This record gives sequence, structure tokens and C-alpha cells, in this order.
Amino acid sequence: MRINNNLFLAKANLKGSKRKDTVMVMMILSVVAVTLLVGFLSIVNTTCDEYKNMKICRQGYIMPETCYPNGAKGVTDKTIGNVLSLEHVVSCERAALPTVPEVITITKITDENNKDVSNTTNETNLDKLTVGLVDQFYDSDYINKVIKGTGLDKAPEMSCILPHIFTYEDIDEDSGKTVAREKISTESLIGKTITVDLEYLIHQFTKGEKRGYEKGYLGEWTSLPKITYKLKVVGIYYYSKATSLDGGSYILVSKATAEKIDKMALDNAVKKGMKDDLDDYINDEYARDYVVTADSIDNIAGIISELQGMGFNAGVQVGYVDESMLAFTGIFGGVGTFLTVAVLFLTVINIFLSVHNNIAERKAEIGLMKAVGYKTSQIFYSMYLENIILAVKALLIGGVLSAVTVLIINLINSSGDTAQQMYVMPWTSFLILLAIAFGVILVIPLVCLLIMVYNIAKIQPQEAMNA
Amino acid sequence: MNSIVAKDLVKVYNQKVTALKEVSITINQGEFIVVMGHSGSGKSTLLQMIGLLDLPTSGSIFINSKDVSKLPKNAIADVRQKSLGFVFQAFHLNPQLKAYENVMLPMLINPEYKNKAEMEKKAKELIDVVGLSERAEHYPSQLSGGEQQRVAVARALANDPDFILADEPTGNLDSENEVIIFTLLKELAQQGKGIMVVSHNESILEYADRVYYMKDGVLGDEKR
Repeated sequence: MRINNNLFLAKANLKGSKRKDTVMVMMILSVVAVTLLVGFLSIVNTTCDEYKNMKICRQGYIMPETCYPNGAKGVTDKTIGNVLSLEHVVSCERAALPTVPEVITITKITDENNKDVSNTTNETNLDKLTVGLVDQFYDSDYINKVIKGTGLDKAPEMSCILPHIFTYEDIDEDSGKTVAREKISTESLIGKTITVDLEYLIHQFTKGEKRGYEKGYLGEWTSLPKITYKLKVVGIYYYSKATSLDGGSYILVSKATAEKIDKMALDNAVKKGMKDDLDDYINDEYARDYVVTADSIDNIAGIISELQGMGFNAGVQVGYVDESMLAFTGIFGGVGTFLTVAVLFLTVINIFLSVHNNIAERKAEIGLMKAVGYKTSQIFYSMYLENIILAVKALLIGGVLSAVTVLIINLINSSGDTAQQMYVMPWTSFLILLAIAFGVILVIPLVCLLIMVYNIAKIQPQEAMNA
Repeated sequence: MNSIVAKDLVKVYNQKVTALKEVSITINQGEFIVVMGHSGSGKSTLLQMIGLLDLPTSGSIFINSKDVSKLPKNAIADVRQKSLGFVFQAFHLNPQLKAYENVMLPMLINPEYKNKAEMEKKAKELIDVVGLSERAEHYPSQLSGGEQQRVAVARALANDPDFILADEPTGNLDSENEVIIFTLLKELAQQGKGIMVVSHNESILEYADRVYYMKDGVLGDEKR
């Protein structure tokens, strides 16, 4: 039986169907559930997983041995083995350079010909770059995940990669409110050189015996004099909203470059008369914080607790773990999953009942069709085609509803703060989910009909003789 | 000339009730045959066997000299589609289809029809044959009982079968419409169709070429 003939019969039968409206509503809801709920659930979970896998969320610190009597232990060649032997500990290393730069300012941008191109475009606006590119890191999970240009593993020293976009926010000093927010692309900066002024704030430790203590170290925060250096922008990496823990985005450099810059800062500080202050910091391997890394964000708190129990002065990296984000993910995930499953379950039940009742009510009609020569398979295809027609209509209506909703959500979130920007659905993802939703609402009636095909086969042609 | 030959048909239900007891009958093209009997006599069961709507417990059925009683289900469906047309007491018209579209129903599975336009043309011709040209675009709810049954007759002719089998075709009609339907069936017989009508209505007798009476599953001798 040709598809046109089937379509003709299916359309006619649908006209008289008592349940088609209910079935179509459930199909529309299924489309919406799959595209919206599953779509945003996926974004939330992916963002959260990305975030949870970041090294910085899995790290704690151990301070050097303190000076006080019965003071806490520090990491030494004798104690480092104890730390590494703990379950879930991946590494224990001297605090990676750089420490937290107090101030980082971009003072100039030059092109390949060394021509000053600062402030010639929105992207080269020095104020915006300085505000938007908050920190400089080397130990990042994104160090070689460039989307354009060259990764740092292939680039020479004193190179850097930038986030593909950064957010510039203008905050009113009096009220503290954001008065302007702009997203700026950095793609045009590939190949250019940025001049950076950096002032380090270091957590410096000095041997206690220099201050009259028998053992241990004394710690204090020390500002180093400003240094200036140049970095060549060799690539851009995908700015993941999850990495912007404090709302900013990072200039990434290689470990070698970071160590070189820090040596520059320390050498400069020594030159300017800070030699005595920095002597232990520079020359004593254990006059530093040590960073312990766990295999999972879920284990770091337990590791720190164990270390404290062992007498170490240990703690988690404060301010990096956003508990509210984790809580939101959990709640949204739970509610979203429940709603999606509920909608799909109700759709299955509804369609199954519709098919079942449809067959029962059309017994005489099916009997007549068999009497005039229709086979069970032909009747099956005709009934399935009725559901395909409903599915196509549901896809169109549900698709439009979902698209409008996604458009509104995306517009709101993309112009929102960094946390909101996490929840923007790419249109390619939406289209893929829409295709999946269509598949779902095609498969459900097919499965229901296949289960009921025995009932269709059971109807005998002589049913047509029963009035 | 084509014919349906049923030989020694036996039908037993649930291993207890014998509805047909070695019934033999022949229906030739161009004949109007009537099988009469009271309710429960087995006449409807006989029509079901002849029409391949059900299979006998034993016995044979030959349609155009071919033994069809042993064919697989789908092959039997093909035989019904090509060689047989049915008219039932309940008209069984699809309420969502217009009159001519109802006539098209059996054509949809007939590969001899190349496209919908061909089917529509033929359907409207058949609607004309049964005298309902002006009602072709009407839905069943807009037709009287007699008109609906005439549409059902047109539907039975959709694939140009050799035989028309009718089960109490006037059971739901008044006497005026009875005459219309019987006259129509008689005309079809005169045009070369083999007609078999099962009925308890004696007013059909004047149209019949041959009449049989059934009682308790046994087909009596031909009357006339």
C-alpha cells in the first residue's frame, strides 16, 4: 500500500479520533521536556562537572612548620611521604608560581611590526583588558585547549593565551552596582604583544630562628616591587564559564614562563633591597605553602581533615568552591529529571491507552478492512501513520514553543552576570535535542502499537458481520 | 465462467457446536443465489466460509477452480481483495470519509490503481452505478440508511470482483429501500456478477435465481 494511500486513510481516521488532542498535547509536552529540561539539565551538569574537575577545586594547602611550641607540622622531605600515602591524594607540590598577583595592568599592545595599537579598537582598549583579564595563571586545565592559534606547549617562552571572550564590567564606585557590561572578543589580539605591569603579593615564610624561635617558620604577606614584561599572544582558549570562579578570566602562561616572571619579580625585589626578607623564600625549599591535590572535589575536605588530624597546618583553598552552584545543580537536576521522566512516562501511558482503546473501538472497522483484503501489517502501518501525523504536528508546535523559550532564556542569561552566562543553550544543541525529541515521540507509539499488534491480528474479518 | 464451489464444508466451534454439516454449494457468475433460514441455522456461517472470512473445520472451497481453503492468511486476504465483494447488514462506512471516498477504501490496497485520481474516477463511476451521483460528496451521516447501503454496494464493487456476498443487506432498511437494494443486486447479477445473499426476508425470493434453505447446519435442496 503506497504511502499516499496510507496517508489519506490515516488523515481521515484522525479526524474522528476522540483521543488525538490528548495524545498530541502529551507529545508536545514531551518535545518541550526533552529540548528544554534535558537541554538545560545537560548544560548545568556539564558546567558543574567541568567546574568540579578543575584542579583548583580539588586542592588544599599545607603551610610550613610553624614556630610555636607544639606547632603544626609542615611539609619536609621527612613528612611528604605521609601526605602522599593518603588515599585520594594525587600530588603534593610546592605552591605553584605565580602566587596571587595583587595588581596586573596591561599598559600597551603592539602589533607584529612593533607598532603601538593600544586603544585603536574596542578589543585593544587597555582599561577594558585590564579590568576584564583579572589574573595570570599557568597551572590551568585549559593551558593547551586553544580554539584558535597555538597552544603553549608549542609556543616559545614569554607567550600567553587569552580567553576567547572576556566580560568587561563598569561598576559604579558609590553604589557598587554594575552600570555597563560588555563581552569583548580577543581573537584580534592573536599575534600581538601585550606589555604587562605586575605587582606580586607573596605569602612569604622566614625561618623562625632568625626571629628568636627554635624551629619552624614565620609567615607574612609581602608586596614585591612592580615589574614590567611582555607576552606574545599566540592563541585563544574557549572561555568556560565554570573556570571564572571569581567572575574574571585569565591570561594563561606556561610553567616555564611563570617561573621566569616570578624570578624577575624576586630578582627585582632583591635589587631594590629586599634580599634579607626574601632569602629563605628564595633559597629554602620548604619555606613555601605546599599544595595537595585530590582525585575529586568530593575527597578534598576529607583529605584536609586527615592532614589536620596528623598535625599539619592544612586547609582548603577558600573562596574557590561555590557551594551554591553545587546545590543549585543538585536541586535543578533532581527536579528536572523528575519532570522529564514524569512527562515521558505519562506520554507512554497515554499513547498506550489510546492505541489500546482505538483498536477495541474500531473492531468492526478493522474487521471490514480485513474482509475487503487488508492485511494486519497494512492496518498496523495505517494506525502508526496516524501517530506520525500527530508527532509531526507536535514537533512543530513543541519546537516553536521550546525555541521561543530558549531564545528568551538565552537573551536574559547572556546579558547577565558570569554565573548566569553559564546557562546559555547553543542552538546546535537545541536542534540535536529537537531531533532526539522527534525520535522519542515517533518511537513511543511504534512500541505501543507493536505491543498491541497481537490485538490487531486477533480481530477476525467476520467482526464486520457483527453489527 | 467463474464460480465458487464449496464441498462438504464442516464447521465446529469449540469442539462442541457444529454450525455446518457437510454443506456443498456452487455459485456461478451471473447467478443470484439466496440462502434462507432462521437465526442459528448456519447461513451466516456458510457465508463466512464462502467469503473466506473464516476457515472450515473440514471441506474445500474452490474459487475459479483454485482451492483457496488451504492458503496462508495473507494469500486468502489477496483472494478476498481480488475476487470477492461484501455487503453487510451494518453498513460499516467510515464516517470521516465522503461517500465516494468510502468506495475507494478497497482500492487503496489494490496495486492496479496507479494513483488517487484513478481511484476517485472509478469510485465516482460506481457511485453513479448505484444511483447516488448527487450524493458522492456527502458524509455517511448525511445519507439515509438505504443510501448508505448503496454506497456499501458500490464499495463492494471497488475492485471489480467476480462475486458479491451479502449478509442480511436489508436487515436495517425499510421495505422501500429493500426493493432498491435487491433490484441493484439483481442488476449486478444480470451484468455477470455472482451474487449470494443470506437473508431471512422472504421478499427477496422474487429476485433469486436459486434459493436454498438451511436448518441446523444442513443445506436443503435447491428450490426452484
